[in-house]
Amino acid sequence: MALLAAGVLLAGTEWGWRVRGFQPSVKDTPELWSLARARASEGDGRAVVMLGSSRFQVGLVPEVLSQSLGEARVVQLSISGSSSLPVLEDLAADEHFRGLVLCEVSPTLFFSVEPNEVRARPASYVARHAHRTFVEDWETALRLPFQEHLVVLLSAVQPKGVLHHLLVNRTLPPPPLNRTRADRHQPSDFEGVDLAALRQSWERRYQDAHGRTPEPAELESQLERVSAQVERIRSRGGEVVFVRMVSSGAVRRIEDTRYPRALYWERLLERTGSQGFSFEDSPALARFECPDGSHLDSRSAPGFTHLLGQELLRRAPGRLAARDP
Amino acid sequence: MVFNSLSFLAFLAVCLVLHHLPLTWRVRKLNLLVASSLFYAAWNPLFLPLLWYAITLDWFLARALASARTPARRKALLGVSLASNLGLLAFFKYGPFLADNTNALFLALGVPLHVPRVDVVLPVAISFYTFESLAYTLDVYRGHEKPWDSFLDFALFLTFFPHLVAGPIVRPRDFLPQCTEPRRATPSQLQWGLLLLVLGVFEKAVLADGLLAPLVDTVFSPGARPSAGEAWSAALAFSGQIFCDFAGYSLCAIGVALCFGFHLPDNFQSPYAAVGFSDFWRRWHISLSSWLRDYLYIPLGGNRHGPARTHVNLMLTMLLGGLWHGASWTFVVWGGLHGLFLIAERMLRPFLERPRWTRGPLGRLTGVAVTFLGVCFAWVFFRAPDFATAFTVVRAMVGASGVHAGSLLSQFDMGLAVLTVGALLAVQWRYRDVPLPEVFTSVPWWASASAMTAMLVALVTATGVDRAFIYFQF
Repeated sequence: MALLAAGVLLAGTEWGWRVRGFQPSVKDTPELWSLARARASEGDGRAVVMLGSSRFQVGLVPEVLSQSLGEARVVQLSISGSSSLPVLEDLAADEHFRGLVLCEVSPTLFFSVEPNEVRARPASYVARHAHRTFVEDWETALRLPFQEHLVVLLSAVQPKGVLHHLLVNRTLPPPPLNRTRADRHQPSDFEGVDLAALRQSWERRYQDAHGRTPEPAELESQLERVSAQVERIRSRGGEVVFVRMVSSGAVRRIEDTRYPRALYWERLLERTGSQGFSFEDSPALARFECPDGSHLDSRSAPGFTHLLGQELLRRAPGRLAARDP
Repeated sequence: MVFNSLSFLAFLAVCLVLHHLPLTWRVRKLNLLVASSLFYAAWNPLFLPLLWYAITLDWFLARALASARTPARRKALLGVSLASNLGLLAFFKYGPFLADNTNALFLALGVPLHVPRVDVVLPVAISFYTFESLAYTLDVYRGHEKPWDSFLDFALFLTFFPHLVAGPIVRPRDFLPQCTEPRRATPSQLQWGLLLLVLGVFEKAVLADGLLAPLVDTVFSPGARPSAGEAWSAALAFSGQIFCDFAGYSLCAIGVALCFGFHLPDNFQSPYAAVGFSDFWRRWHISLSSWLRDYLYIPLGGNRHGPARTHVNLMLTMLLGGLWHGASWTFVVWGGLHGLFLIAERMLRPFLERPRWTRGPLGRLTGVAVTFLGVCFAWVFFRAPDFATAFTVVRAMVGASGVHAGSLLSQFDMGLAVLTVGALLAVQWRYRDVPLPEVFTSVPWWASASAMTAMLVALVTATGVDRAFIYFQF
């Protein structure tokens, strides 16, 4: 009886939230990342791995990239608000991995020296992955189908949060602007969002929160470190390609001012001997705009991903030919 | 594999199906033993041999104890059991703590010695199965029990997965006799067992983790500067969190065991409605407090050698009880505070019982309030990661936190925590001496069905971040 009543109530709640525009989303947890990380080293280890921050998670669509690269096995290992370096080091140390790394260079995250959180978080993901148990993987895999299909499991509609929103704003909460899919892609819908406020918030963050720029010696040591990891991956037949995702407006101006291209991006490519794809170098990619200054909208992401895939094939056909379909 | 996980539900379903197949009782016990070992290995398979070492050693030691002819040999055998069990516990749980404190002592004395610190991973459940195993050899040594004649039963007693990881601490005499006859849950036992499981997971996932833990974590994080209101809210919230977490686990354990037809002892009986601290310890973590009473406090002399010795025994028992929870001086202080409370209660009892009003409802209510406040205060030391944090919270609770404190918590969070803990207290007061099954049968069917519906809905919609049960770390 209680089961039946609970079922009816939950079905009603599910319907109600869906009517208000909510869509299911999986929880982007370290455990979900861990499942993806395991896939990167599966089989012959020749996966195409996306490594970066939320710009990659939001802006690149794994299935589109896979199609563009000839049905390559694509794995999303980006972690929101973090530097790629700890995961790059983890992949470099993994003897099973011999694939292609698309390493995102979001300058304020990739080159910043402080705060440590931008590296501590991905490092904790890596450590957790190393010590995970099969039961944790099993649990995450069991939860995925439910999270993929049920809105009532969303954090955004938890009764405590809804009650708080009701008391403070006298309205029900709006749907979140992004959601996470099982492949860790985070399509974001900026329609109806207060973009001015969002842009301001990103600008503040890019101006201050992502820490100070490195001293020359610190940068040198960082480039040395990255170069060593790239060499390790390359020695096993893998490759690392650096990618600068599109940014717009004030965020782009801040990035260009704090991290001038010649001093950072070009030196990175020079030291590592890697290919680099910056949106600035491709007129087709440069025409994309980030509504919030930092991330692509879900309507733009497939097109951007497709063009990036084509650009990769066009400019580095030899390297990509080594990848397994 | 925690009770509030889908993997556990799948595991439980498989175990229940196997348990209800038309197999012999011996095969079904073997199934449970294998399932329990898998359940334990799911945390860390490397520690499974350690668990089996404890089982095998105490099994053979108890048999040898029973057949030993001389008291000296019996004492030697008991010594081996104590040294082995407590030695493993000391090495894994207290090794780094002992090394750090020994080194600090040497340094203070100017002795140029350094004990190396060996950091090892604490095997899950070691505190629980060590006490259960020790209870068996101690009972046999004292002649209270004979050694059990089935190794399979004994191994199942220690490993039975519902109680293995975080109790209740089951006594051999309560469990082993249940292994002699084939057990299957009746439909009503199965229904009640599942209901307890839902109630337990609700307490843990919704109340402890969803509503209370985030607030507690904020205030008890190192460097936080809470205001008086925030510190009190956090202390209250932690009182609710630790109860819902641990009592929730115990309910799950009892419920799951019942689904297989086994009875585990109650572990909590409305502890926050206790009148006095001795009453609190009769209601809180009953299986541990009764273990400490029977195997530590009474052997130390209990209350048989005058008030002074009684107080020493009480304090020793509580200090060791505190240390059992974790290798940290904060746990020792928590135990010490409870020791002081118990001693003060014993000393004040003649005076408190004299006025007539103290025996009436007002007296009981005052007793409950004073006990709860004392317990809340002591929880600060239990929860705080270090003394600096504990003293920061205590200073804030007494209003000495300074003008810069505060703004850690929203009024909404504080209000919700106070409401939740208030409701918990009210329920415990209302059903102070009523066993849980009677609580359910005493309310109208629609009320229990509505409560169950609400819990099921909340379990789906209101579970927060996954957290391990607090008592797993002990």
